[in-house]
Amino acid sequence: MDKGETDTIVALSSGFGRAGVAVVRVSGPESTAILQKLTHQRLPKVRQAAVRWLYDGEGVRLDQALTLRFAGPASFTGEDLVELHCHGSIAVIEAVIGEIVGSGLARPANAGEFSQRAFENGRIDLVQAEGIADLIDATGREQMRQAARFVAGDASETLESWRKSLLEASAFLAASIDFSDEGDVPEDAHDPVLGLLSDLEGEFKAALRNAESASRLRDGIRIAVLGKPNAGKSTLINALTDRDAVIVSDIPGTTRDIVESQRLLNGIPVTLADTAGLRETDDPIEEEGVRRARKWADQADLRIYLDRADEYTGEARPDFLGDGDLWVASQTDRIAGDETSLPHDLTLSVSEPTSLEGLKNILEARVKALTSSEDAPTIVRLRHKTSLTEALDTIERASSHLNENGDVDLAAFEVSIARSALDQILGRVDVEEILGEVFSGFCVGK
Amino acid sequence: MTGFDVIIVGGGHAGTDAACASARMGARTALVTYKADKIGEMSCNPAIGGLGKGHLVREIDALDGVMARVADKAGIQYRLLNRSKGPAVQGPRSQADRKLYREAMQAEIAATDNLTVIEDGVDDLVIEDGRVAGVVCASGERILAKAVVLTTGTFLRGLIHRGEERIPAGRVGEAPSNELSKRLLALELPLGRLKTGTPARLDGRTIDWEKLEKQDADKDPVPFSFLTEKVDVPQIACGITWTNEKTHSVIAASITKSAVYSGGIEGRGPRYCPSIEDKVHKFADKDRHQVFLEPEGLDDHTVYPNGISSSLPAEVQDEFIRTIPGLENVTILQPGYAIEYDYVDPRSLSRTLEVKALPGLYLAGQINGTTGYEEAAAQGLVAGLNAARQSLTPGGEPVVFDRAEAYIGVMIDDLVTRGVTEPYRMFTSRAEYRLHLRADNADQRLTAKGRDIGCVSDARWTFFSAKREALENAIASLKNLNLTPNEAKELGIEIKLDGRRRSAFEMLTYPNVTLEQLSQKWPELADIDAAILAQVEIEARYSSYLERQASDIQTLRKDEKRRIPSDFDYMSVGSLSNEIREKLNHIRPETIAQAQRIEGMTPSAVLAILSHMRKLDKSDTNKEARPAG
Repeated sequence: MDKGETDTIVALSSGFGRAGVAVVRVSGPESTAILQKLTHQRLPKVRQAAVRWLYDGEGVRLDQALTLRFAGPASFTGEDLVELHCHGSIAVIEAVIGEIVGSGLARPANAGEFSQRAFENGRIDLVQAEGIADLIDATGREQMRQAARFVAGDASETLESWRKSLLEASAFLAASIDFSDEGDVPEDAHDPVLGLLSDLEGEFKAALRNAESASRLRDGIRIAVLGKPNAGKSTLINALTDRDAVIVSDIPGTTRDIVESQRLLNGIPVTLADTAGLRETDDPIEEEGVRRARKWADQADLRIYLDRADEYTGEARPDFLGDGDLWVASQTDRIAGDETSLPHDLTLSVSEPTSLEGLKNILEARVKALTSSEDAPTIVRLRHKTSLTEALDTIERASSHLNENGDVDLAAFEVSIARSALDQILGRVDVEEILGEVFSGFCVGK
Repeated sequence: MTGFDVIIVGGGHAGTDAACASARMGARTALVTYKADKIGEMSCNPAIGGLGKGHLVREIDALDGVMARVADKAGIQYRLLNRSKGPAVQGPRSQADRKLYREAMQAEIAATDNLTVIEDGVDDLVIEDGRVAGVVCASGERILAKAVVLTTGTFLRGLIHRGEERIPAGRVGEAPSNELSKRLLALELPLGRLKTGTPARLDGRTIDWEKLEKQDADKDPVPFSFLTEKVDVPQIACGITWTNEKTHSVIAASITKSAVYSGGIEGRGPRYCPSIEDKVHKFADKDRHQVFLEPEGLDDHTVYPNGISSSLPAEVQDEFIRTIPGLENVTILQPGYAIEYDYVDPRSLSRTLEVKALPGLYLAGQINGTTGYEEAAAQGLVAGLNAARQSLTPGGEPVVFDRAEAYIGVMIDDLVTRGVTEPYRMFTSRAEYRLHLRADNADQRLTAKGRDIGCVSDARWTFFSAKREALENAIASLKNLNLTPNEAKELGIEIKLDGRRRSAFEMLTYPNVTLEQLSQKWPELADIDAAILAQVEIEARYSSYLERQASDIQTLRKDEKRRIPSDFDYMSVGSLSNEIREKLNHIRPETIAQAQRIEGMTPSAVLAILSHMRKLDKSDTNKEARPAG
């Protein structure tokens, strides 16, 4: 069937592979018929779990499953929906889904299609849909908490309240334009509109500031570990991630490309990048490695630069390090006793647990600072930031139109653009353009 | 009697512009009305134009319609509204001398070729082969034509309410057309009921004008028509007074006697034009309401008290009006009243204003649920153009205006797509492209299109072409003159010192740059006609905004080109909710753009329609490609 027509879709909603339970979800007008066909029994009551044997077309038992039935519009997708909690066997999953698709009543769902239907049927707005995607992708506790706020609609509520303020401003402007000849309507809309706009300006700016830390939390923190060849970068990363992720050797220039390893710090996912040692080289492959290392470092949230203590010859703190970055003297065990004379932010001997613990504590504090915001975030994605920045620009222009020349017509235009920018975040207008982008980030069955 | 292409029923504002438009197109046109001497009557407030409404009048004029020209012969108090607020939202308005207006309109009708006035009522329609083929008059005479435009205003089952009184009537003293209403009912067109009101009329000789604040006309009246060089009608002032607590207590004490509050009226009235009892009841915290005292003519002592429309019993009206300063000893010539009337749900019309279920029948004006002379005239124009087009070239391209080119387009799209819940009035806020749809550029937006349609006379075309050429030349010269930021600074204009040369036109796009400043640098600007230069200044002011909306307009136009077949079967589109399906079946949008504007429409429903259309297209092509048999 063509895209856009409501047919019935089916997909495995839990992870694929051996597990205790696997959940197969069916949504669409044929859901109930499919359940009936599979169970050969009267339908369970809506929203009541019932254990049922599932059969194939020949009457052969496939699995015993816990079945749940929801009647649209009171379901996740807003359509009739059935959940089959089967045993988590690959063979069972394939047989059950195969049976459903084979009946011709349903087709396998596309990526993100359940959420897309929920959105299209008005069960969730776009920000909530994105929250669901983030929640599924969350690897750390803090990410999970943030995504849950979006799913719960906290952010949507704030966006709605902004939209309401803009609507109010539009109404004042419309009254001053369309009813200016009527005695009972105040001629001057400037003050109330300017008041509304300046409040919003403050809130938009704060939200954009908060968005920086919120998106760092959403994407995870990126830490680049830099230094001359053989400064001990790989050793440090292995120690921080508790495994031999990176090949360590004494030969300088072992790490030629960037090796990323992940870990959680304080419940926040962190990507540590082991980079090629920074040095002048004639080897074109190593040179490319150095170039990539610098690029990665530029885009990282935090940089750690290692100087091997016994080879340190008094160079200054590298100028690409910012205030929040770390300049570390490593392998201080090689110069036992002399480390106090070093100018570095920190001295480190990976083999000593207290030394490593000290670095971990500093990193945790930094990561926390980078991901905490003054208020709970309202926006997090680049898409949101682009729209909110546009909304901010337009209300600033609207204010200046009103302040400088009293151009209510131009101010009204800008306010309407700001409103549609917010609508775009919530998924109200021009939705088709962004839909594809938003929902392609989902994997089947969510 | 036989031999007309188009019959217009009704001689009000919709009827006159419909009749003249049809005649201008070359269709032999009959205008059938009860009384020829009532043609062009203003039954309510004797004023033309205003915000949104003035825009419509200019658009009618750009298409060579009659309302603007006639109003310029009758305007007795011109005021350009929102003068300080930017040209896009400025609306020309004027009080009109009721008699001068009527006379000028009747003269215009008499001077129009192809147009015959027939004095008669219309009781029924002639229907042949599922098409309207003429009308049956009250006299029993049948008049045949290929198309009929009904502009019956509030005549359809009109019922006047005043206190307890109920008077079936179209206007005071004129009978309603119940026969025609029955016919429309029999056709099973969806009818609804609306109401509107009018205030008492006062004897101006008994008003104490000395006590009142005056509102003068503009010193330099801005005419409605692009062709009017100068307004010759003498200008008068209006009086302004206010209701007070005493007025309000008289009204509050008798409010249950108001026809509206006694529950006698089922139709919905306009929120933007409440009766005085509504104002007192709903805005109890306001201790006064403004009243404009508008003389109805230069040699007419009737005064229209704008702001106190009422359906209270006559004696209560008498009492509360006399509490108002200046009106203590006033004589009431005719008490105010509310009138209820039938309207046809405009969602049963196509964008040509043709009834979808009955080809050849067009509806325009209040019958479609609108209010206002200007809204009526604009619909009359569109209905007249389309009726003439279909009579002269059956199956010819319909005359349609889109939302990005005219308020006319905004209004008709609103009506046929969203219907009405109260009498529909135009506001500038209804237009998404308001900065582009200005009163000052209505001719640039529409006259060339009107010429293509065939409704623009040679005289106007010559006049417009000359203006357009002058404008284009002026813009070209301003784009050729340029200066550096430093040179601008010498003129007292602060811009970024980036070394980039800017044209005189670009300089005018900056909010604080004036023509006077630029004239210091380029004295040759004085050679350009001042009116043309003023227009260039406006164009420049909005040019960047137009660019910002250009892609929206492009998308709109693209979607307007995606026509949905009129027999499209929404039942066979699987995914539509019942609610949407019902709306689509009822409204039957003509294009994808229109479908998107239906309330409650979702993007996925639009997608579903589109993909179904594509499927139909494919199967059509296959059928055609397959050899016969």
